[in-house]
Amino acid sequence: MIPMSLSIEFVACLPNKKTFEGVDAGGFADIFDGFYLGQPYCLKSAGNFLCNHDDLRAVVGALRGLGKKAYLTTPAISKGKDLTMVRKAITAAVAAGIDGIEAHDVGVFRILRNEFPGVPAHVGNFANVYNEKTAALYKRLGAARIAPSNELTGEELAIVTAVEGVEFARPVHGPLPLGMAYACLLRRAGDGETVDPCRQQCATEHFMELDGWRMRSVGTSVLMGEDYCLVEHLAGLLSAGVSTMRLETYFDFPERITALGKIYRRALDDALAGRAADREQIAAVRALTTAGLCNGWHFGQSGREYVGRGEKSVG
Amino acid sequence: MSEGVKKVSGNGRKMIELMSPAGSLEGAKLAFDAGADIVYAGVKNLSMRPKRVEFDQNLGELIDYAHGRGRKVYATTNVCPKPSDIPLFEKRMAEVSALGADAVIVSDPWVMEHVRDNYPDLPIHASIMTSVVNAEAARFYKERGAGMVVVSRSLGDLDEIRRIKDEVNVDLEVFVHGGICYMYDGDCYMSSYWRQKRDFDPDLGVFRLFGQNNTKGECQLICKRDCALTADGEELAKGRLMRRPDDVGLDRLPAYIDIGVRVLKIEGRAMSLNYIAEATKLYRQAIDLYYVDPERWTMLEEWRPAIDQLIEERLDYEKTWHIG
Repeated sequence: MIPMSLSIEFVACLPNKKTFEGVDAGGFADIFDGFYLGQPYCLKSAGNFLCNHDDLRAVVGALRGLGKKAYLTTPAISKGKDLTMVRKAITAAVAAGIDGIEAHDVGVFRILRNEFPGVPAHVGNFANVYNEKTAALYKRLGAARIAPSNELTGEELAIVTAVEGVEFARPVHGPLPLGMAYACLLRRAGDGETVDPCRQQCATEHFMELDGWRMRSVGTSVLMGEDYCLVEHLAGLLSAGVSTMRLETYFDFPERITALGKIYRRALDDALAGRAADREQIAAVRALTTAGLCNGWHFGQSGREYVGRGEKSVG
Repeated sequence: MSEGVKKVSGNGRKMIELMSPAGSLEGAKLAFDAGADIVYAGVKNLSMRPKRVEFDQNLGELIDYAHGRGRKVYATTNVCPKPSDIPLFEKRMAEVSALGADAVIVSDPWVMEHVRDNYPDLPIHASIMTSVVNAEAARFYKERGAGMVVVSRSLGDLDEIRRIKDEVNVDLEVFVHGGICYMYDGDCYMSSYWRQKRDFDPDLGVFRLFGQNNTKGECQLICKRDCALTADGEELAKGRLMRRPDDVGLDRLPAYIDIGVRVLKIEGRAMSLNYIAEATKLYRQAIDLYYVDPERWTMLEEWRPAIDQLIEERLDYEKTWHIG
């Protein structure tokens, strides 16, 4: 049963203006309700909204003009020396009319509540909200939206989302983060002697291969080796009270973001109408990935396994 | 609450405290004999280390032993509770408080507030798992009741540690020696991505998930393993690419004392008794020598063999460490 009061948002993540322009060129009006702007893993990533505030202002303005939501994410780890930049990015976003700002670091969350009290504060997954008591605490502290830990199973998620008066978000697709590294592995692997500028390295998909399984490396973060996929299980998320469904597309090409968006939008509409996901949808998602699919910890399995309707597999 | 025996140096300065890991009662006794002011001990099922190095019924015995010698015990309860763990946490916090632990080391902000509101005499320390890398985060945890904050092992910036100390009226603890993760503590989900299984836990009498680093403390040392970095099918690098060298912070001792760090902490609850004793001895000697003559303190060449031996032992440990 989907709660009647649930106001659903379907969003994607855009690291920079170039990606936004690509998605815009493909047309997103009928697909996405909004976007999280900024790349939280590396401030040096090309065109990152967090460091390119003119781009940020322009895209927030464009989205508002289209009647779409614009949110800013912030770094997963914010060292003290980075907080000046974080404050500048928040200030620019607020001036442009941002609809909410996501904090992974509790220090950034505190800045949001104390220095920008009028802006809805979202608690990101790196804040490690694992239970309903902690969710209630963040609500009391003024959080408008919480992304509980991705490590929670669907059953555990439903307990956490029972907390009233705050929205809950859940990724539904894309390689989820497996950690924040202390230094960029792509630079470190070459003893710091990178042949290409670091941004060029990031444009290439890198894998960490470990004894028959793998993860992605994007330098400062390690991501799932497979693409996380809940396209078959959106109805369960809605029943649990998850109101924001999010494509984790920080490293995707615009064309694929649009293509995935179309599939998930249809699946979401089906779920809202009480129609079960069909085989075509999962087949369409599979066709868009070469890395295989998993659905993380949603069913209590190892994160790299895939549990579908009547199937369980690795990759 | 006990008072440590080594609080003030000969010249009247308040001394930095040395904290060692305790993976067993025997290990704790060795650590105290080697000069530890404090040991930290995992509480059964609630700490970020294997169950075999946690304390259960014998936690009270450890606390009594320490207090009898003017030493302290910090109870480590730093996993993130899932919904089903809430009753267990509430029960254990009551027990830890009743046993007279000198502090409880916690990572979840709700647990901090729970302790603050229900056991006001039990000091709260924000665990390494909170990944504090800025002063605002330290303030956040102080507001939840933490009187001590363990700064991230990945901060590596003494100026930033100083800024946290200067800007926030909170005691600081730093890891000074031992293994160190590739990921920021508390922000690593590699173990459960690789392997997680639902199995019966005889200790709790329930089925639960094993293999989750953040929530259950069962790290699989993924970042210490051999791996290959590939792109477009081409192998770019191979080896223990994510492994970081052991942290050896002896040379940072004067800086930590100057900053006003309260506790230096040695990592390694799962390490051997010999490792814990030797590491404790080494840092005890260095600290004591510093307070004898801070101006002339320097790294001694004679410490190098002991440091090398500790590093070697950890490498051996990593080669053989598997829990499932």
